[in-house]
Amino acid sequence: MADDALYVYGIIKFGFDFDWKEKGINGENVYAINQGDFSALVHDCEEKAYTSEDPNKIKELIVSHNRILDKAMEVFNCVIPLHFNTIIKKTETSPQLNLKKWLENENDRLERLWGKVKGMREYGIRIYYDKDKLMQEISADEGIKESEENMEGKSTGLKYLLQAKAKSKIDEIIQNKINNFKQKFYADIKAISGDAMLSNSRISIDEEKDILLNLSILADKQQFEKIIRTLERKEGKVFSFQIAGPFAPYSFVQNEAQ
Amino acid sequence: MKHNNTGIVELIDRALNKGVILNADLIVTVADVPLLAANLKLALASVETMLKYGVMNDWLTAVPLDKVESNPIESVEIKN
Repeated sequence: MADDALYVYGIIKFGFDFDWKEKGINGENVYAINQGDFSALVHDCEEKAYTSEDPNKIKELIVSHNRILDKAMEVFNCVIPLHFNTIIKKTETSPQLNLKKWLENENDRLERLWGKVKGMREYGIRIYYDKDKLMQEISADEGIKESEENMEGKSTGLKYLLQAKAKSKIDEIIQNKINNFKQKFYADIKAISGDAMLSNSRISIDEEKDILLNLSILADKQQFEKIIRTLERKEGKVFSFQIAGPFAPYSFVQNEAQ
Repeated sequence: MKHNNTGIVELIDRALNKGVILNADLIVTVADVPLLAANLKLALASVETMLKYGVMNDWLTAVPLDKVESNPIESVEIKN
């Protein structure tokens, strides 16, 4: 079947058409179609989405999509990533012309997005806490001490009631502490990054640990190093961290351009 | 601090759910894409290190089930 559609990887700020040496999905030749200040990185394809019954093949397709974005970030300072499987079809006009019209119509928004993401990378940060250790750390809390002291010299029945009340109070204190930590971590990280947002990931990982925060952050090299130093200072018995990335700034372009 | 061991899963999540989306009239739309829930679940489950964790618990909610002809999850075996 003739290639009558265009697979689009992402958008770069570059004012010329060019053939790229990079190979994209299924080894396709990637090239750039320019309109105004921006160019789209594309390959020619059929008007059919990429999929497979083989899960490893799907993974490979996604990794190939991302490899082009990684390369673009390296060469062009950044890239505005498109959703995987973005395929522009032929309408009354060719896919090439459709793409050029889109670039032209979206120029202002692309300009704003580029201003936000140039030189930046996205990272995923997961902050975990150990509930038992957190409880030990806050056991000296005045409210908890008071609850324990109130038990002394009480009858078994009364003790039972007081214990239930104390447990509820302790749970409340812990929840408040957790919320405070959450807000503090978020504020601290946001203050030293280009941008930060709570991640709405549908994926749950490492369920053995309690997750305090799941963030996506946008950061340049210096900001990222500062964030790592900040997290390392806080890392200890109670808190631990996982970093994923760098990625193209997927999470920071989606709302603005829709 | 652990780096990148969740990278592939986070990447797949971003590539499938985030990034700029073009006007529906210009593209082969997501609804037409036969990326069934089972395939996505398997794509992630095949990341060996993720098998021991409960990945993608609520992934089905992300896929329009009315586009799935049968329930592919039941007929698929995840090899461990």
